[in-house]
Amino acid sequence: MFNMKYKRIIIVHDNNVYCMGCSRADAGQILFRMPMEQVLNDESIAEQVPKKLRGNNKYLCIVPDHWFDIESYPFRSKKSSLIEPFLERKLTAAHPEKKAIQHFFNYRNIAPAGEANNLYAYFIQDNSAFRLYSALKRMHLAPRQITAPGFLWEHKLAQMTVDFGHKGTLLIHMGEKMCRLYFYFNGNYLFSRSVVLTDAPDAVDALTFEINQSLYMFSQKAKSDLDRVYLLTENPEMLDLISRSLGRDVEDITPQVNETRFFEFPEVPSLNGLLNHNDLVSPPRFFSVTHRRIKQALEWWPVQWAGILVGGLLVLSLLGENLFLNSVINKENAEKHKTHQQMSAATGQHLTEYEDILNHVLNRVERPTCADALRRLLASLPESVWVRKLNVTVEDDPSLHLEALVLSKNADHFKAALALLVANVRHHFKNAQAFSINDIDIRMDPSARAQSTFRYRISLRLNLI
Amino acid sequence: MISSIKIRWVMVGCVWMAAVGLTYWNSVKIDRIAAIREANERLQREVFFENRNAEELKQAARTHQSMFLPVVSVTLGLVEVKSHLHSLAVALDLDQIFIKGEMTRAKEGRVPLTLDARGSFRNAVAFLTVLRKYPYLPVTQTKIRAFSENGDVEMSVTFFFQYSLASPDQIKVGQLQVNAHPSHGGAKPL
Repeated sequence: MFNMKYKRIIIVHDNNVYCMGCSRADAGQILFRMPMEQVLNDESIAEQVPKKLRGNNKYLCIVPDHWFDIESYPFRSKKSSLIEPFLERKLTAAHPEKKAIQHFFNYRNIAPAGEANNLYAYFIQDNSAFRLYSALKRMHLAPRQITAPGFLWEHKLAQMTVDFGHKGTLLIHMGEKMCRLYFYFNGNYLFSRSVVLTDAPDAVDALTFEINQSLYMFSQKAKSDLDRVYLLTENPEMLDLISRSLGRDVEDITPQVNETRFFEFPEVPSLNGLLNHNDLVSPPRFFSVTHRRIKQALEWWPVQWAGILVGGLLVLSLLGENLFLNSVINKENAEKHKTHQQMSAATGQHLTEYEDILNHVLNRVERPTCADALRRLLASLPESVWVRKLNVTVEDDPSLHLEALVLSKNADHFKAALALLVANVRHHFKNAQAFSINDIDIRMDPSARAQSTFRYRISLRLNLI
Repeated sequence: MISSIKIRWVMVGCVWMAAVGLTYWNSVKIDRIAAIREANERLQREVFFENRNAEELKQAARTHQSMFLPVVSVTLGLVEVKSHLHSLAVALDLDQIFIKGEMTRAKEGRVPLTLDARGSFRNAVAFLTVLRKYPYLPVTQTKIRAFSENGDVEMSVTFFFQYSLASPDQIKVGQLQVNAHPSHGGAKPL
């Protein structure tokens, strides 16, 4: 789902930079070609790139094999979060003058039989490569993946042969004027060499000499012997010649390669048949290197799209739920409206209005009345008590204030009158059960001195609720 | 590439913020539905209650209605009530009758009134007792003060005139009655 098909590839060959089409419509067509010097040095070259070709991180770039180098380090862990910082440090320390190396490397975990885990770090070490990347980025042609013919042949041989992953292998790729030697050990690319072919009669001997020199280097690097030699050539006679001169069996894989070839690159014949449609996807099946930042961005890509997809599905389902809830709300409101109409039709009033009416009526019923309070007070007053002032309030703080005159013959008669008053008040006022003589304010009547009877002024206050 | 990563992160953020926003919106709607359903249930209970207690509610409504005198206008109603109260007081042998309406303290549906009069204590109590028959004239305060040796008192009654505005055809003729019956309460003259 997250694979991208490459429609164009950039090839660096023979100090030229080619942009070639690889879709079915323009497979093998050169879309533009520029000298490498011009690309590296001419900043205005970006204007010459057709607009339809521009777009960073959309290309596969094939660079010469010698732009790559390889280092191996023992490392136990297989976690990339530990390996990558380790390799960054190691490569930066090993090549302090080439700081860009830390952005262009990749690795393989290889555990030789009986030995601890080894890391094979493949990195771009040529300064031209870094300059070229920066220039391509300015031209909006920065590649997403960078690989080399050595890795492409590694992928091809793994598909074509059975035991490629367990043997030391040499691929001799004979061109017209150049022969390329690719050395692999246990399916991993080790190094390559280019040998110029001449028309001299001892060209094969010269080639054999170079092969033997390379075999020595191979045995030093791989600490093993070569097991297989494959030949790719347009000249069938070369098979016997090479076999005899090397003194070992050489297998011609030209027919097998020709069966699967698709892309032809006339300008770069060494890549003919090396790539087909299925190979040109990102991430590729062959080994490649990506700029560290681009690699991190690509790692997040599936997460981001998954987040968008899942979030989008969630939003859709929530929208559906929202619409459903809307319909439920409308339905409930319609029912509420219908019930309201039922109520209005039945009684003409809502219960809240009835509640106000009932509260009002209850307040009136429960509230004490002045007439009732007066009646009960008058019923409570003994014969000798004469009302002077009376104040009955039934709102806010319902209460009764009485000022009266008590006429009595003597103190005992006075006390009896007060006792009777208290008893009657308790009898007639239910909430005055705690009423006592202490609640009555008693004063001498100023006019009493002129007369012979006891005259006292009393005042009291009763709460009516 | 880096900018396209940022754009995709923004898209992810926007999509998930939309999801969170929609979730919140939906939860608000769910709460609203619950509230509407609760209101509907309450209404259903009210309808049931009303149907079951229709007679009692109507009686309460009638009682409440009687607590407000239907009048064409407040001023006319006041004039009518004052006149009637004056007649009532006179019928009970009260004199120096003064009735004042406090329009500044009037509220929707009621006007405070004060009636001051003089007479015997007995007749004052009788007046208060008769006033109970007028549910639209609730008494809030009564002050009685003896001012002479022969048992006469000064009375000040504060009450409300409660009214409801109505059209002339809704008003009964003779709705204010003159019904003065001196009560035989235990009032003591001085």
